[in-house]
Amino acid sequence: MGIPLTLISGYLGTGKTTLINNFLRTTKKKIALLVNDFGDVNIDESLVEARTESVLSIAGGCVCCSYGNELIETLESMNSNEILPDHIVLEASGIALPSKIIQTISLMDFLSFHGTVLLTDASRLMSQLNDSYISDTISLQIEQHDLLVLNKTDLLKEDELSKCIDTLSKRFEIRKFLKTVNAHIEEKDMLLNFAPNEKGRGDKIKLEKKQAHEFISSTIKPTGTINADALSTLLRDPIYNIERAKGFFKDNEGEVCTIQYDGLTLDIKKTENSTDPVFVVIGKRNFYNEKEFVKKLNSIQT
Amino acid sequence: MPEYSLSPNAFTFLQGKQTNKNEVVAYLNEILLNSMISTFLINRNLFFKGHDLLKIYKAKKIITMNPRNPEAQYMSVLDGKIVQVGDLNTIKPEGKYELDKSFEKYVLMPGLVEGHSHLFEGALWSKLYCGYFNRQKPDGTLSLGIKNVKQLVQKLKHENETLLDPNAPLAGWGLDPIYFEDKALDRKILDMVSDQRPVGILHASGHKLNINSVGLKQAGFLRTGINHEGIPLGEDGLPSGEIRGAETIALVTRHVGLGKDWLSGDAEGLRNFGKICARAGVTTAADLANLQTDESVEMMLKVTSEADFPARIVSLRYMQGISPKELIPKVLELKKKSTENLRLGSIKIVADGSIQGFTARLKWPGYYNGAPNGMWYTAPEHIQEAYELALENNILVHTHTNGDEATELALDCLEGALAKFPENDHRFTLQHCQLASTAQFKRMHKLGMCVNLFSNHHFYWGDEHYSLTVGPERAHRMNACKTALQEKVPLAIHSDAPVTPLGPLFTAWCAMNRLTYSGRTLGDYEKINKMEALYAITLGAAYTLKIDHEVGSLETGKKADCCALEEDPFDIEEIKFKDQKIVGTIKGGKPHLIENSG
Repeated sequence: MGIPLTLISGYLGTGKTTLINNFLRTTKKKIALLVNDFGDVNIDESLVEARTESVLSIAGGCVCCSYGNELIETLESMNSNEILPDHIVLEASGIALPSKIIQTISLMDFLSFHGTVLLTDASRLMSQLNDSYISDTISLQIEQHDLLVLNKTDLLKEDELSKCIDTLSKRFEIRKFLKTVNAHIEEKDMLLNFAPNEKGRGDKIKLEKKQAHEFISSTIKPTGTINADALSTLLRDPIYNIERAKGFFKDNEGEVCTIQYDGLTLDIKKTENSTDPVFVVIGKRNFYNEKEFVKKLNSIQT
Repeated sequence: MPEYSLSPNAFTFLQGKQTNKNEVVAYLNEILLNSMISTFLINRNLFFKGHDLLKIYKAKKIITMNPRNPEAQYMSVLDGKIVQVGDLNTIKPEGKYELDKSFEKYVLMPGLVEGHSHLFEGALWSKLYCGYFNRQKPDGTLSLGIKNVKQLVQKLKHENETLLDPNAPLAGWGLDPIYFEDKALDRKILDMVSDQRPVGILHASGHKLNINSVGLKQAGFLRTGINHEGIPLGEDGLPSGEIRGAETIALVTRHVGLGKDWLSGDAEGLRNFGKICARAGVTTAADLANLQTDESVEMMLKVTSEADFPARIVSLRYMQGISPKELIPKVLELKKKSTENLRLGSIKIVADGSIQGFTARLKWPGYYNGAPNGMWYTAPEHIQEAYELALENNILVHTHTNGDEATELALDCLEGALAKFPENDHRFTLQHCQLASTAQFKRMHKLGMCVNLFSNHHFYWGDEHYSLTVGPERAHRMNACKTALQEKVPLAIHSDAPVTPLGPLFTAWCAMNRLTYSGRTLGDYEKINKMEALYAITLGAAYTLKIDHEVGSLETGKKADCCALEEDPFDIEEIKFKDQKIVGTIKGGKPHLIENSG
C-alpha cells in the first residue's frame, strides 16, 4: 500500500500553514511533515517540538513543481528512516499546481497518495478569479482538488458568501466541499483516502464551465423525537452545506414543531398541526453532504 | 610661493568644526611656510610613493569608450587602476615606470562585461561535451561537435574507456539531437555505450535528458506502469530513456553524476569559469542566480581573490525557498562581504519560465502553437514585496521575465513599490525580457528600469520561435534592442551561459545581424549598430550592475580592465564581428594572455 500522503495546496494566504498547525495540535498519528517555509505564517515550532515522536521531520525549502529533486530526495529519506510515519503531509507552495506534485509522487511506489486538500480564501477568491495574472493558476489549482476548502468565510457577509459559493459551483466541478473559519477542519476530513481525482491530473486541462447546477433534496421521516437545539445546530453546520429545510418533526417533549430554514434564518415553532413528522432538506449537488447529514441526524434521534 | 585657498566644499566641511574660514587659510599658509615644502616637491613621484611601480601599457590602439578621449596608444596603471590614457609624452611620469609592450601589436578596449551568465558554465566542463557545435574548452582546446548518433556513441564509448571505476556514472551535456538526421535516440543506443554504469546526457536546452537502462534502473524507473508526462514510454512499455522537463530531469540527475553537488559548482569549476571569461575577453561577469550558501560564498571569495583569477564576479542572490522578508537581511549581510573581485548584495528574482519550454507567461494571444500559458515561478505578491523591501534597503534587483505578461507584472509591481518607496537610481533590471512591446519599453524608461536582452536567443532558437512558439510577428520583435535604445532604456545584451556560450563579441554580432542558425534575419528594424553593441557589452552591462563608475570604459580612476583584440573592431564588418580573435585580457593591471588561442 505504501505510506499515505496528503497534499495541502492553495494560493498564498489561504491558510495552509494554519490548517497544518491546527492539525498538529490534535492529531495522535505519527506524522511526517514537509512544509513550504516561506509563507506569512510559520509552522508553530513548539507544536513540532512538543510532539517529537509524532512529527518525523520538517524539510525546509520550496515544495513546488520546479524542484522535484529536493522533494523526491526528502521523501526517499523518509522511506529509509527506521520509524515509518503513519501519514505524510506535504504543503505545496502557493503557486504550485497539485497535478505536478502528484505526478512526482506517483513515481514513488512506497507512497500511497490520499488526496489534495485545496484551500481558498473566501474573502479574496472572487477578486483573485478576476485577476488576469493569477486567475488561471488559481483555477487550475481548484480544478485539481479532492477536498475544496473555502476558508475565512467569517470575513464575508452572508450574501457575499452565497455568491462566492455560487460562482465556485458554476465554474468548477466540486468533489467534496467544506466551509471553514481559521482553516479548522477535522482530521478525518483532511486525511481521508480520496479516490483519485482523475480530472485535472493532466497538466493544464481546459476549464469547462459547468452549465447550471442542480439541487438535490432528501426527504426525512424521523421516527423518534429530536432535540430542537441540536437539529438547529445540525442544519446550520457549514460542513453539510444545506441551503434550505422545511417540514415537521417531534421535539423532545413529543410535540410537533415546524421547521423553516432558508440558508440564513432558521425558525422552529411549536404547532397545533398533528401531521406526521416529515421534512425536506435541500442543497446543491456536489455541495450538500447528504450521507453525513443523515447519519448525524440519526444519531441525535431518540 | 602659492597660497592655499579653500574650496566652498572644504569650507562647509570645516564649518562643521566651528572654524572660521580665514583662520583656516592663514593656518595652512603658515604650515606651508614653516615646513619649507616647495611646490617643486609636490609632484607625481611623491604621490606614487608607497604604491606599486607605475606601469604603462603600449597598444596598437586603445579604444576607451570614453567619448572625450576616444582613442590613444598608452595607458598608465597604478594599483590596478588607470591613472591616464593618452600619448606617452603626456602621461609619462618624471620618475621610474615600467613600459609593458606585450600588447603593442594588439588593440585594447575595455574589458567586456557579461551581464547575465552562470558560474555553472565552468563546472560543465568536468563532464563530457556532447553538443552539435564545436566548443572551446577552458584550456583552449576544441571539443568537436557531434553531428549524428554514430558520432555520439563513438565519443561516449571513448569516454567510457577512460573512466577507471566501472560503476561510476558517465555524464554528458550540450546534446542537440534536433540537428541529427539519423535514427532517434533512445535508451538502447546509450546501452551500447555501457550496460554497467549509468549514462546520462543533458540536452543543450536543459529541458531534456537521455539516460541508459542502468541509469533508469538506479532511479527506480525501469519498470512498466509509469504514467508521467515527463517520462515517455517505448513500445515495450518501459521508459524510452528520454526524460522531459526540468522537474522530471531533476529526479534522475543524481543517478547519472549530474546531481546537486555538481550543480552548486566547486572551486575548480569557478577557476574554469575564469579561464572561459579570459578567452571571451570578459573581465567582469554577472553570476545571475546563486543561492549563496555560506560555503559557496567562502569558496567564491577565496577563488576570486587568487592572484591569477582573471575576472571579477558580480553574484546575485537567487530568491528561492526564502521569503522576501527573510532574504533582505541576508543580502544586506552578504553586501558587506563584497570585495574588488566578488560583488555581493543584489537579488535575482525569476518571474516566469522559458519561451521554448512553453513555461513563460505570455500576453494574449499566447503561444503560436496553442500551448497553454506558462507558469509563475515566483508569486506576484512576493515580487511586489521583494521590490518594496529592496527599494527601502537600497538593494539592486534583477528580474527574469521571458514572456510579455511577466514583464507587465514586473512593471506593475515596481510602479506600486516606487509609489511607496521613491528611489531615483534603483536600476532594477529586466533580464531576458524577450517579448517586451514598445509600450512596455516606454514604461521601463518612466520607471527608471534597465533591460538586459537575450540577443543570442535569435541564433539558437529564432527559427523555432518563428514557426512554433510565438510566430513570425513576435519573432521579429523579440529582444528589441533598437526599440529599447530609442525609448531611452539603458541596454545590456547577454549569453545566459551556459544556455548559450559565453562570448559578448558573439552576442554583439547577434544584436547587429539578428540571424538565426538557418540564416533567416529576424527583425531587421531591431538591429543595432557597432557602437551601440560595443556599448551594450561594456558600459551598458556595467550600468545595470551599478558598477559603471568602476569598469566599462578606460579612463582615469577606473579599473585597468581590458580586452585585447588582434584587430580593431571598428575595421571589421558587422557580419564578421563574431570571428574576431581575442588575445587576452588585463584585469586590475595584470595581463592574462591566452594560450592555445587557436
